[in-house]
Amino acid sequence: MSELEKRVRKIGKSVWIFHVNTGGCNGCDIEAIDMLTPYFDVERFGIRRVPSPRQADIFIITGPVTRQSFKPLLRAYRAAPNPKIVIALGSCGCGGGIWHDSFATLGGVDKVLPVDIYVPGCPPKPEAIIHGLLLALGKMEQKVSRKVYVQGAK
Amino acid sequence: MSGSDTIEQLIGEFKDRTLKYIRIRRNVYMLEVKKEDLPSILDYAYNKLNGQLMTMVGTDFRNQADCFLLDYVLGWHEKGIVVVFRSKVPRRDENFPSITPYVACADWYEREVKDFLGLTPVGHPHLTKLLLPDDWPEKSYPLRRDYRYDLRPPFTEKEDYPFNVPDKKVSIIPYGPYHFAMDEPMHFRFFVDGERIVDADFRGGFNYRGVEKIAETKLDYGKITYIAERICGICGFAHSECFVQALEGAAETDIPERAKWIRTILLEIERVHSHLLWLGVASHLVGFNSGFMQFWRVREKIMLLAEMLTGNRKTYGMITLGGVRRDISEGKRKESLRLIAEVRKEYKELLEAVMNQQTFIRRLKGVGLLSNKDARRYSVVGPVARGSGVSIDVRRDYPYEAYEHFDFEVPVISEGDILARTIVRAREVLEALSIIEQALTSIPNGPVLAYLDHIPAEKTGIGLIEAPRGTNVHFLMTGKENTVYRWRVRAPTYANLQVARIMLMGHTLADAPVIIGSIDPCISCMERFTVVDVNNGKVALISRESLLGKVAKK
Amino acid sequence: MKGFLGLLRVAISRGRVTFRYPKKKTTIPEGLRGKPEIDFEACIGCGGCVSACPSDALTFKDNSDVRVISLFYGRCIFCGRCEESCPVGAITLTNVFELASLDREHLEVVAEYKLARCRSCGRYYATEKCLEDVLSAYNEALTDYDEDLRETILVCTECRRKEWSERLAQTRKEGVKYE
Repeated sequence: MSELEKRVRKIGKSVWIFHVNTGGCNGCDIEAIDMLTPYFDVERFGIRRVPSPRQADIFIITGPVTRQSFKPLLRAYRAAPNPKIVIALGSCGCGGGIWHDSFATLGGVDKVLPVDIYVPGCPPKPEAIIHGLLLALGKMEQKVSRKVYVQGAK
Repeated sequence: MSGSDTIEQLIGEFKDRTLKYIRIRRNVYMLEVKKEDLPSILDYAYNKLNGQLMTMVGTDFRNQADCFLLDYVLGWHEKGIVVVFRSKVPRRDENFPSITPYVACADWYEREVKDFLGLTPVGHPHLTKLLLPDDWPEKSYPLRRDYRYDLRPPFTEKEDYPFNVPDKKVSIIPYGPYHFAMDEPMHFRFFVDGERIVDADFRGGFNYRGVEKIAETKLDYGKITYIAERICGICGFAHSECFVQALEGAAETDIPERAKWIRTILLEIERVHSHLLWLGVASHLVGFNSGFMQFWRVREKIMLLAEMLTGNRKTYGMITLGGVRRDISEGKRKESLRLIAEVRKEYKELLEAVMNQQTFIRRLKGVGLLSNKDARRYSVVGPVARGSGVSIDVRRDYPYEAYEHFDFEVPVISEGDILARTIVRAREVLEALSIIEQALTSIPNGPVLAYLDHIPAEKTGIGLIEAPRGTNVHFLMTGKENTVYRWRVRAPTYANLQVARIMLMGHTLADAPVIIGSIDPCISCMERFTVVDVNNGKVALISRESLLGKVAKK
Repeated sequence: MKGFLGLLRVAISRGRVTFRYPKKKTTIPEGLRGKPEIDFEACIGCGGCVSACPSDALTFKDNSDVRVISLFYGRCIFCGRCEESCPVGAITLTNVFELASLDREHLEVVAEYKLARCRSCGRYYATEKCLEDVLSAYNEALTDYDEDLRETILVCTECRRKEWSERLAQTRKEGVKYE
């Protein structure tokens, strides 16, 4: 069993989400909130959004981690009890997006925190975010994999 | 001609102090004045002639003319003209007289010029950092041409912001940066006496990502539309449209008619989705979660429509210089008309049910008042202005794209409370649906992309559009080889958030989220957010190394 | 109470609207901007997509005798500029949107193409496939072309500049004869 699966098993209950926006444009945030609305209804799986990091099991982090939001992000992460899972959402969260080398950002969530699931998209569709959540919980398969091509190789 | 009497008045009044007068475009004029004359000229133009302060731009022009350029852009909605007051700040003398004592809403613009270009506004009442963090090194100005876009100064321990604490003995309640009621990081500091808010202060800069610097150094005209769209996820299309309008104005080109219709349709689709989003969020902020769910249910059909027309639910990626990237086929056009009719039916039904809810109405009535006088004094824009009796709408006053071909009303209500703003937005949704229908039925045939010639350098362009939150102003100076020399984005929330303090005073703490929400703050548009994270009134100083040491796992 | 009954009536009349993803498959509209796919055989390694990408999701690096082109889905903004700028149509946007991944490596696509040496200075300057593509385009377009042009394409920019200026100086010295 992988390390992520062990953590999920240890959480033991329906996971609760804490949503952190580290300076993104809000596109991913609105799609993440869209998951709670009747059309997609992520509460079918028992997942709900909580107001405090003390109650959180999964962190959904968007945005390229601007200079100013760096310290509050770390404080929020420290406040959550173990075991916890981090999901980086969107092009900004996964790799810094268009602002990956700007002076005002740090270039993505994985420069600051250990990330368990990457969900690319700009913004990712709510179905794609649900796919990411269910992948973390072990209920769905990963559909994308690394490809390497060498010209002339067999 | 409509604007000439104001222009003639201005020129006549300051004839001896105007160094140069240029007419940039049909309704855009530039007056060059000495920097010492700025307070008197702008005081007259703003207070006596009732202009609106649209934006203020500082440009580093030291390589070209050994000076900095300072542009104040004022607009007169009734006359449909825009006047740019340009002055030169010489290289060795990097300060200028502040106009904030006369024009209260110039406060933030001048602080920003100090932060990013190092030009000091002499006489400014409260000169502190606006967008940059407090531990940013002194004498280090990011928007100067000699500052590299990827130069990241090291972090320090300092995390302190001197808040404007009133004299009385008050408790301090921090709000943000991560609060359940907001999905953007922002920090307000409420000074409360019991449950009543006595005063409020605000620290921004959390969302500052360096949009302008990246666009000026790394990107070209083709790519800047994509970064403009990602300034904000909710009104991003409006930003890319505004940029392209400024650029096409600077280049003095015209685009095909069909492209104008398609751009108008997409702008109105964005307005509908943004207002429905706001109605849901406002319901959520007063505790009416059923309303939140229902409004977002109605909103889903609009997202489906956008996905069908553009390929993505938001950040449409449709605009490019010279037109649009995709066309609307006949089948899609018919399907869009059907979806719009369905949305209108469901929306009207829901609105009627919600407006009969006394619990919802009573929470919004009489709360968060903004008087007509204050609305004019601070140059507020959008539904906040229209809810306080100020009748301004860029679609009607400075027509752009295809708006002059459609009939639509501009709702204006004079009460000035949150209910007024809600009704303005609710009516605008219906008007927007009507505009989309008119556009889809009358769309002309033809190409959607035009070929453009070379665009010369050092041309000025101003883009003005009505975003869902208000007037969006982009100021542009073109550069060599398809790049921009200076691009200044002024989002509507920038003007509106300055009145949050006035609206909050005297109300209870429970009303604070919905009052702030009624401005419809789009902080990422504003790009100005500094995060000052203070818990319990004490500044928590945590060293970065110790935090990272605890956090490092894999 | 009357007010809430009105809302309840609206909600009940609309019924349950939930779309049961993942049991039900999403209807994908035509033209959805999903994951870009590279057709490795068709790609010539010119780097046009790299200069068109606004967010540097596509990058390339020349390591001695190979050019390594890499596409990182994490930073992609799905704008479609790479598709528009590719001269041979090797990169296209599909409609795949389920891109969640457990680690960063799985979000990368890496392709290696051999580089060709400059005829004159021996430096590696362009991919072999790119040169073949350019030459075949010329061969198709103009049947009887000057052999000189073929030679011009097989040198790097520096040497081309040098050779042309030498040729110009030679022409000036000898004088030009027009037939």
